[in-house]
Amino acid sequence: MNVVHGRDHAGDLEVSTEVVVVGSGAGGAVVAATLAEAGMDVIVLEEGGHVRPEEHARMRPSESLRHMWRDAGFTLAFGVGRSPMINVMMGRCIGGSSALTGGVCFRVPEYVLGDWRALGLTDFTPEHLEPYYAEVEENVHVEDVPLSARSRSTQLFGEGAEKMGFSLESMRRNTNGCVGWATCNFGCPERAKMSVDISYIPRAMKAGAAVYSDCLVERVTTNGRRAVGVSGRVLNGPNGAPGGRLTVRAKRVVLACGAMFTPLVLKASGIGKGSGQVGKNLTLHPAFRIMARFEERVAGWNGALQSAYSSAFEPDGIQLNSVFVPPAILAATQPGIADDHVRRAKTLEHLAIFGANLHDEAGGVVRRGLGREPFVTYRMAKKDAAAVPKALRIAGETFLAAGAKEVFLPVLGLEGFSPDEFRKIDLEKISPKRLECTSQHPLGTCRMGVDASSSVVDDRGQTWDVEELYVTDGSTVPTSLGVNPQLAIMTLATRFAQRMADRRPS
Amino acid sequence: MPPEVDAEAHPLVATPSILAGKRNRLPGPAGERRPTGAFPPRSLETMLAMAEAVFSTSERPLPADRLEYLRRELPDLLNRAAPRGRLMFRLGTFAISTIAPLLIGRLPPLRRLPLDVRIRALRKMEASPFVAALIAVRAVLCLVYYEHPDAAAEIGVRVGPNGRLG
Ligand SMILES: Cc1cc2nc3c(=O)[nH]c(=O)nc-3n(C[C@H](O)[C@H](O)[C@H](O)COP(=O)(O)OP(=O)(O)OC[C@H]3O[C@@H](n4cnc5c(N)ncnc54)[C@H](O)[C@@H]3O)c2cc1C
Repeated sequence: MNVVHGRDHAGDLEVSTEVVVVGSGAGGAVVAATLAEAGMDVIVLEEGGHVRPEEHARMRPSESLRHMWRDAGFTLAFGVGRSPMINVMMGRCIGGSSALTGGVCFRVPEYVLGDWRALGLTDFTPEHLEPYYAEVEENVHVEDVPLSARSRSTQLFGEGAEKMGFSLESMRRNTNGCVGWATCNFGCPERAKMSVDISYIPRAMKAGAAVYSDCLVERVTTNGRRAVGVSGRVLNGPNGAPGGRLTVRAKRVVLACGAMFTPLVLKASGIGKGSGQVGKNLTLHPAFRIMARFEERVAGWNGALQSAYSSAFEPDGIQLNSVFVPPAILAATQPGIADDHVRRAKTLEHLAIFGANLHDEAGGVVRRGLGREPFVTYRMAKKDAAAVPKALRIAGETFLAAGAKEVFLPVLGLEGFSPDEFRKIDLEKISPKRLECTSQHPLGTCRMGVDASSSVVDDRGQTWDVEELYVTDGSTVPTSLGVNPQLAIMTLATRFAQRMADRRPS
Repeated sequence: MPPEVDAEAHPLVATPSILAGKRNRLPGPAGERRPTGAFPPRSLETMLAMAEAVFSTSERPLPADRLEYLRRELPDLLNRAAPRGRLMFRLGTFAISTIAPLLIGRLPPLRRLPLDVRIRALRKMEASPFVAALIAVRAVLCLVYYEHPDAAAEIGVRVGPNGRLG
């Protein structure tokens, strides 16, 4: 069975099914496969297009941005108060953001589960989650990244870390046969990343699920207190514009549009007004990249894109993650005009990079904007704002300890610093508005909880307001995780799906 | 209709058929390339005028084929941003087009200035409080420009026969 391309479907599309899953990313794909394998009649609707992994594998990064990324990668969360503007990255394709990950997989840290239990979600212990983790980890082939896969960029940071008194640990990733092209975010030439378009979606289809690309869901349709389907548009107009009407009748509706779009569909459907929580509590794991220039040739693009991390600074809310980017994107970070710029670009091979993520408090809100775009604002908590200079200081000092000649901070308009200059700079004085900040991890906007007044879904993923309407994506995560979320999202989705499979919708 | 992808394509730099403008592309997302939403030609001209300044060196001006490549590729990328993203870029290019010349006492628009004056204007803007617009637009220029194989080779990016970087 193949993915049905909505673009090629003429006119309106009307179908009936037992379960409709909206969104084919990490949360949606897992539920679709689990329910289809349990014998249910499942349809998956995805707004984005279908690009086969072998096609994505042959795209340049800028082509991947055009065909796989939402808004070509230019989505913004507007910083309120002393918060930076944040570039929020997401996928819009079969596989969703899962197709763009660096493959990093973390289980939810025990202290985070402790926070969830304190909110009343008492089931969430490591022991309870173990079978769900085990199932997901097997299905997406989670494995340790061997030391030999570390790029020179990561090795250098690791050498600095040892001198600074902390160490790097190996990450785990959902890969099978990675040879270190370091282009994970833009398609894997070896198809070694076991994202859901390679793992769960084919399983769902094998078990009989029908998967449609280019189908935009606008609303959930209800019959009193119960979901009875979804409606929207088939993107079969000129150049993929909305064309025919999309109508799906279903006994159960599962929303998995991601933390930015599930709240918009709920709001457009008038669902969840009671709690006032839909679209609130957005966490982003604001991320910063710190670069350093070394005398030696680093060529950090040789090796795994992400391979090692340190949680030594978790008490400060900081997680350090190895990362790299393809040369054209690295060049985009280089300042200067004409000779100044080209001269700097010629030294890309000497640059090392490391990333820092914040374990943030919920400071964001997703609102309906004009048209289809969400309007996202983010107010960084004081504690998180205080962690930024700390993170930059730690990463910069670590590179210097490894022998870096120059350190580059993610601050608009700042040149590189020599070791002496870096040690003198007062990082607390840098205005947050000048920070270059990104997020790949929007979470929490339809959070799971134990009562209808403070959450959007219960601990089975069902909305408090409407029966047979479930949410199974990153929006249900009750608090910031502080670590990369895809494994947590897939694990929660497995747990939700197995409970759904126990009871067929009547 | 499945997208056509060149068999020769490899992930980091543009292939000869892309450079020749022959490569078929996937249709864009909803709203893309609708006449009213398309990235305006004037903003594109500003970006290209800026590209000439950013990527020229004292040894050579920006080669014409690279400029042509940017002219084809940039709208294809930018038209896939959502309307708000496109608007931000339009505002960014407008700021560059007007503020950079004024900072050195010349009349806008930037694209009408001779290359050496443009370089001077942009350098001044880079050192000014308006640097954010310049950084954002330069980042997009770089991300497309350095996928041109000659531009990549010039900065030492060595693509091996199997497409891997050395
Ligand atoms: C560049 C990048 C790198 C990342 N790296 C990592 C990593 O290494 N490790 C990690 O753990 N996490 C990583 N993440 C985060 C991870 O991918 C996400 O947290 C996860 O995929 C979110 O799952 P989701 O189901 O909530 O949403 P998504 O996976 O984003 O899926 C949502 C899907 O719903 C579709 N959709 C939205 N609205 C509609 C609608 N109205 N109708 C129909 N379809 C709709 C979207 O197009 C999308 O395909 C990364 C993310 C990005 C962008």
